[in-house]
Amino acid sequence: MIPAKIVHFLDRANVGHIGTRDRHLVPHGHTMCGWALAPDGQTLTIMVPEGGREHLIESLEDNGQVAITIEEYPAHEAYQFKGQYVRHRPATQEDAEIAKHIRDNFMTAVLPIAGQVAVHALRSFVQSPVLAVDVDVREVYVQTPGPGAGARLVPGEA
Amino acid sequence: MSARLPNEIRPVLDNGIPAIMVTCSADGVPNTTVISQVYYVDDTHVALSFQFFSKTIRNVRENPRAHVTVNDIRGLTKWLLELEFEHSETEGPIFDAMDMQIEAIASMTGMTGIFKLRAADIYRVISVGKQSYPPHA
Repeated sequence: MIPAKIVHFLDRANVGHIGTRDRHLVPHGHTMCGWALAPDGQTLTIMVPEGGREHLIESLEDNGQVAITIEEYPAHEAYQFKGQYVRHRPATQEDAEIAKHIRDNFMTAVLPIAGQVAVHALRSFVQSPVLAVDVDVREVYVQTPGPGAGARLVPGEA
Repeated sequence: MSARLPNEIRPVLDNGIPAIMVTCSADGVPNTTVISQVYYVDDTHVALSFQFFSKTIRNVRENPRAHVTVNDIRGLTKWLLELEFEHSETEGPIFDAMDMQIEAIASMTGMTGIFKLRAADIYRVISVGKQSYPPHA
């Protein structure tokens, strides 16, 4: 079960990325444009734009291993979620609304740094989803830079 | 076999936007992390900063393959690099140049005293992909 602190973080975070690996243990990175935690508190649905599809489903169907980094930029608060692929489906309008929320978070956080000249480019950085992938989250790690980085939050350290 | 980095990627590597790195352990568990710097060494090599004893560092020493995504937000482009870890340097011109850049990035991002270069990890470039995305309506 993902703790409340992380649930709140997921609502304000603004950047995410997916890592998988293929049958030859070659890692692949995939762009991500949204995320939503299911009511069970353990299934994370991640939204993937067209540019993130390459190698994604074939790797997930081969071995199911997935790692997801979600960050609040520019504060650098970040967590890594590791888990197992459950299923995927085409993205819906509801998924597109979630991506819009992430895009709004990103614009609000980054625009003061980047300046108005970058509005168009910043808005385009978070693309609309074409796929939604359900992941059963088994572990959560701190990735915020500093001495606590790497600590495991879920399951808690014994 | 190595791939060549095109000249047009060089300003993107210097744009200060964090990159994303994916590695995989020998037992097949992927790991993602945000990295602050991808340093151009020559047209077939980059160096990544080793700042903390992390899962990423352990992974590339047992499985040398890595994937890095570099963002060119203004250019509506992502660069996708497939890499292979070759060796680590703890002194010399590459280490010194990266150390200076890390200090500058730390100062700009409020991370002074947290970002500290332990080594410059040198990677061979296996492939380079350029992925443009459409402007958002």
